Amino acid sequence: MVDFELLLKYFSGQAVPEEAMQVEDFAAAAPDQYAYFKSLHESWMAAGGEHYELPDVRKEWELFRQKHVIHKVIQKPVHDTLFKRVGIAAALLLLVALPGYFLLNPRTDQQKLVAAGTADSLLLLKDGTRVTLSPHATLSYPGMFTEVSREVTLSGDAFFEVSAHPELPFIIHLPHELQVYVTGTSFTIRQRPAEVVIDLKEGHVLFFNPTDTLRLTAGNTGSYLVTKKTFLLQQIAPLTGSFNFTNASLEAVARQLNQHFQVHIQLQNAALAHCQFSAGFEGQTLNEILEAISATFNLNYTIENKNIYINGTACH
Amino acid sequence: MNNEDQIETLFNAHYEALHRYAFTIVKDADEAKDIVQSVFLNVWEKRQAISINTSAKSYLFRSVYNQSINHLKKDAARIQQNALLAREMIPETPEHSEEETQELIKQKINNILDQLPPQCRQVFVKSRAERKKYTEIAAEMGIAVKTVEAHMTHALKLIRKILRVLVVVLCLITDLNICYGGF
Repeated sequence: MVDFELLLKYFSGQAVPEEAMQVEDFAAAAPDQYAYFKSLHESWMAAGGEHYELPDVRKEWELFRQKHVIHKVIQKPVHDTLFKRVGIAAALLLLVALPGYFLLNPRTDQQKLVAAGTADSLLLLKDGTRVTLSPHATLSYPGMFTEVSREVTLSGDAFFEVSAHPELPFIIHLPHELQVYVTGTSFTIRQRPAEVVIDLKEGHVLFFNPTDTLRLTAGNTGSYLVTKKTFLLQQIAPLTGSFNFTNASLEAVARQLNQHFQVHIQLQNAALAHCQFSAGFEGQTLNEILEAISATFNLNYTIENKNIYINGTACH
Repeated sequence: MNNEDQIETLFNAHYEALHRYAFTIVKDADEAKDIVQSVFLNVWEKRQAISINTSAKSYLFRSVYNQSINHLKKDAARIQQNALLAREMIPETPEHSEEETQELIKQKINNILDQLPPQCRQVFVKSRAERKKYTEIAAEMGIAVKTVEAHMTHALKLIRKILRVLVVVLCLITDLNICYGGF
């Protein structure tokens, strides 16, 4: 139920988005409620000498559609396009390291690279994006990208290094109505009957289907389970890290290491928590860092999966 | 469903609500139209990144809110007229929570009930407390719907006046001497 006062608050233009949604949901819930809502709004307007009229939604949609939805693809005279396509193909053939072959479809603007053979095929797209196709993978892409997006279709596995064009998203269409949306990053797509997996090296990627979206950030792996139709995020802990500790307590050091490497360091002796540690680490592994700490304070440690137990008597 | 179908569905489902929301803030129907078109254009351009589920609705409402407030900011004088805007512009002000503001409004409305002529008060109470439609109230009280409308307008006129004062008082309490009511 929506409070009367909330309705007034809404009418007077003081409602935050969440409240506005509540009010509009209330209005839309049943014809009776809608009638009540509309007449109250009218009275409110009249009370201030104002007037409100709903626009014709159909008209507004047509306006919107005409202006923005009708695709604007660069049109070129036919012979030019043919020449360009041959030109692109020629340039690309030089870069293809290993067997793959092109299918040129003269009727549409789409081209296809089918990776044959037993090794990878490297493809350089017009925008500078590099795609390494695994054997038997197929990438379908247009001769020219549109003004709004760069769209390709992939079946099989590939490693993408998408060139950065923030205003021009790169969209990969996959089976099962899946799409991958990036602006400029590098990642691997692996497709299996039961799942589709994306391994993200850098940047971020949107991996989605009509109902769900998974946002991947660097270092993560996302998978889509085909039968369950759900997305899963697998977080991979980094292998190395850089830290600068200046008179940091071992407790604080442990906390930072825990967070970065996704482990659980436990100081078995409570006295150890206050040992002061100063050291800089540049791209070191967890083990290297633990070694350094142990050496400094004459401690020892044991690792059991994600748990690390540090033992010792006191700080020396 | 292709992208055009999806955006059309969104458009048809939410246009009315979004236009009305924009209008309540900017108080201009044409400006509200521009804002809603602009919000949908934004969604359309980012269409691959926004899935059609409940989050799209929040995104739309939030966008309308942002663009509407931005429009008000263009007219510096307007800042005085909208308490929402004033809150946005001056972050350090001790904010009344939304619930507190509503409570205050509720109290004020209760207070004015006594100031309403009897039949007007009856109509207003039926609308506010019993959520009755105007046609129902008219039938129950044996008066014309037009009379109900007139009573409601009268009551709301009073409320708008009081709420304007309330916002001013709130502003004074919170030391915001540049804001005064948009009610």
